[in-house]
Amino acid sequence: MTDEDLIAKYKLELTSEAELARGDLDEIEDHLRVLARELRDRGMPRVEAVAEACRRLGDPRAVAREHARVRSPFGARLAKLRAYSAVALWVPLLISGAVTQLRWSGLVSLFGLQLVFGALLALALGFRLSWARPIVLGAVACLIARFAILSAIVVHPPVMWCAAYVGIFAFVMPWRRGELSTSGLALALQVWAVGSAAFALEFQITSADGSHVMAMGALIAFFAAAAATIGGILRARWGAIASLVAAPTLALAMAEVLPLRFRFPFALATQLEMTGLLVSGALAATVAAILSWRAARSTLGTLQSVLH
Amino acid sequence: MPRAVRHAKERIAKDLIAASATPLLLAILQKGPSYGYAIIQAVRDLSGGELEWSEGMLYPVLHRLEDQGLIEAYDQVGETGRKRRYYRLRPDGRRALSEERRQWDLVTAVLAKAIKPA
Repeated sequence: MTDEDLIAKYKLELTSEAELARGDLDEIEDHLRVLARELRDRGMPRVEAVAEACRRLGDPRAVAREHARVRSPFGARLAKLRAYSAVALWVPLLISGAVTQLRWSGLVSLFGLQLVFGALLALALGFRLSWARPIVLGAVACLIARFAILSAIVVHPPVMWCAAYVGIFAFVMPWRRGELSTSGLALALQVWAVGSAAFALEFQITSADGSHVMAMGALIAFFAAAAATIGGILRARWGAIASLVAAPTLALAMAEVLPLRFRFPFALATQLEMTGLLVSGALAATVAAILSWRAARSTLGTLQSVLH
Repeated sequence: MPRAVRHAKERIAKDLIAASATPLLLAILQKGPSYGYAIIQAVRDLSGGELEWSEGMLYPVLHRLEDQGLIEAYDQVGETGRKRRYYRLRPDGRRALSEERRQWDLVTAVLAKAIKPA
């Protein structure tokens, strides 16, 4: 085996354990070459010098794992088994959603957009992009909370749906401490705020008595929280500011929708659900604003972590 | 002699190496920009060979410091003619270093007092 073969082998072992960015791989190779040359200058034969340099750099698998851990800014990358299991539970939900909703409302509608967004998110989760995990966590947690409130008091949502959502939640949940970084936690909370604003928006589009309610608070809160989520992925300081806008506007949304009087029998339950979701959404946006401000990389953010 | 003690005499414990990595790297970069291999050399020279790092693990630590905004990386063509990634200290890193220094001084002072025979 020549010295070049040894270098190629070390690089292969690194990249087969975890994906390394081009620059990171070059950096390690440069180190390997400089160290080997130094050893050769001290009289070591060519091949032995490279072998010794590889040994001093350390176990390539451990080095690659450490790189992967540090380089994914939203927390540990989801293991393949967990990610694919979550996607496997997700896909039937998407298909059943498409079958039941698209016939009524078409792709360019609230439900259609939800499906497109859901499909993109499932794809991101399948590719194990590091931001997908906290986003799915926040979104599914919000859905489960809504299901739980609904089924505890009035309607019984289909059991299979609930089971699938709980399953997805279990797969993406950071069960071990430190699995989610500060940025990751902020992202999950921002998505929770998006969920609660979307909930308030539903009342704007179809209020109980059939009239349209223009709830400005909910509208602003929704876009602010959605912007905050994008800012969170970019790890930008403006994301924290958007989150800070979402918090009081969610409280405003609550003031707007709470006086609504419903004619259907479970009005109290709906109002409880509304209060619970909007108050928690405002709190989540506040905490997310603090966390994402502290974890922000720069004012405008960076595209570095988008495809990571 | 128990095995653990013998081991401790040979090398500085792993935990201690990990804990001292951040202040050590920041202190080295305070003297001027540098790159991975040169940083490892500096650590070896400063410790007289007592501090042995697993060299490949240096880079994840540097990237973490970069992610925290304490240092920044930039590419420069080195003496070999190849492009090489250099690191330099940022103002936040300077502040972090003085805070680290305060904490380490405190720990060594307490240790010295505790160990000193009464």
